[in-house]
Amino acid sequence: MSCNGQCDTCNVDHSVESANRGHGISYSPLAIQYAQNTTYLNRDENFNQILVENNTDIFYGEFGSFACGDIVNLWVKLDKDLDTILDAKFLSTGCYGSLSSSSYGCEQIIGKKLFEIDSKQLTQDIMENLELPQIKKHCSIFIGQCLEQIKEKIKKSSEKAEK
Amino acid sequence: MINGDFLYLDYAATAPISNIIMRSYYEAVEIFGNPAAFYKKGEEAYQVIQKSKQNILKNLNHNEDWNIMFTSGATESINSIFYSFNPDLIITTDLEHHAVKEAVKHTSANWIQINLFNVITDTPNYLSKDKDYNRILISIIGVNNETGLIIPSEKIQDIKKYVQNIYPNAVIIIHIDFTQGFCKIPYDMTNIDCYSFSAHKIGFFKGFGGLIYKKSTVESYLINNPLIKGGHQQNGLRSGTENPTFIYLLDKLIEEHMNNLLSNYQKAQILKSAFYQILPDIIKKYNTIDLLFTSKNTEDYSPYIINFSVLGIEGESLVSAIGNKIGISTGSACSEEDLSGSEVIKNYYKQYGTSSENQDLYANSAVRISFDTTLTINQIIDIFQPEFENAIKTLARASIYKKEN
Repeated sequence: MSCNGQCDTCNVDHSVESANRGHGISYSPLAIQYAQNTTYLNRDENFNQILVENNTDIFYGEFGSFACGDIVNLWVKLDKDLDTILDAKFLSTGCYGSLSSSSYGCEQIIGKKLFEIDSKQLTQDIMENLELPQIKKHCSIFIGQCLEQIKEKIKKSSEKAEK
Repeated sequence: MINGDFLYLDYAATAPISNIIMRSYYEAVEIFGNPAAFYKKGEEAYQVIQKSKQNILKNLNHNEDWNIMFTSGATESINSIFYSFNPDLIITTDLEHHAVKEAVKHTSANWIQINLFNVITDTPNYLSKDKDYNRILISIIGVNNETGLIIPSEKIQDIKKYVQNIYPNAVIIIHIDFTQGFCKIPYDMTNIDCYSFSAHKIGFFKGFGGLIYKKSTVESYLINNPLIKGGHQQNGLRSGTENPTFIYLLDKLIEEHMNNLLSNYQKAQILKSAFYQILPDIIKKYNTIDLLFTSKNTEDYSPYIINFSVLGIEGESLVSAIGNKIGISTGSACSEEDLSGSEVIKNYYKQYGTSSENQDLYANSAVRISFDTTLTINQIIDIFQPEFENAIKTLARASIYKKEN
């Protein structure tokens, strides 16, 4: 998978964006602050994983590829009704845009009801509040996409349970 | 170079103005006359240009067959030779700078790209005996702007011999894009026809450079079919009023660089080696990242350029994380236009049979450090090392890359 013009993962036409911007990417101070924030990383100081999948209340989603430059892994811990997000942690190999939007996204979704989160609105909020440059639009969708995967997984497992 | 508390390590992008320019600036601006004018100030400007030109060519170890055409920089020089020579076949490597790739696209010539092993990487049908070419341009990047890889003159001669064998009647001209090597890397230009440079890479003002060429093989094309037409300045090679101030200053700068070429080269080798010791020591502490040097610490590569990938950390993140204190670059400044990662790095690894997935990985995490000899080992240890390690520590914690054992 490659990002030559039309990116398969995020459906953003990079060639159009490239034409509309100058050299250099300037992040807002808030975006830089979130990119450097380690609170929501799924590793403690000693690099041990904090949330581990396979616990019945922890769900995992991943989005992106090394080809595209960014990959985000998201773990969410839900309450016993599999409804409210109690904790969210991520890991990412990506640019400051994807690091800051993942970090900010985790902060936003904690305490919310999983199935009430509108991923598109979340992406929109991330873009606007972090003032990400337009070229970084594709970086703000990762958490939303991971959440959609997690929703799917929960739906499937509950369907199985009903059967 | 230290600017305030900022350590600048992006000399391959551009260099700060050299001290010798600062010292000579006030005497140079006195030479303001138009060299085409018939009064004393004009004559003075004309004489300064002639003298400086001769001096530049002498310092660059060129004989009387060589001349220099001043331009706005390497991009214009490249466009100029491509336009003036008007080739019907162009041979380049697949590691060229955008200036060459775009200039090729605006000619009507067939274009062959070869890799480092002289294997044609595209449209091999262009090199057949059925074709008939009159003018063939071989344009090669002498010192690569991203990896620092040096393509030696002998290798280019081999390409020329090979092509001349197929087309004995064709005129073949060799052009070297020498932007990163100019006044930095010793290079045998004896059998080369012309080469381009940008003066700002060695500490001059931006927007100035030149095409240095052999009169016997190249001049007629430049004069008969100039890219920039107008008042016939520079003997019609490139119209537009000449800049005696800049030419005078450039002469001084080149002289200083060429006098110290070998000692600076050796200093740069020592500085480069320091990075080759420090970087692995930092990276090996973390098992979520890995280090890959694209440029090697050998004489096949410029000692002024280090290109490496921290696998697991995107290049842009690393550059952003240390960006307040240290200036390094993601591969090439131009690559920021394109999120897909540097084509040069991908093509470089493609030649060694690297999988396409890994080409992307290496290209996306590539960063480039480039410096001049004002950098000191102390600056590397006291400023670069802690700042770099600090950034790596946080980014490695976020990384989802798994080190291969």
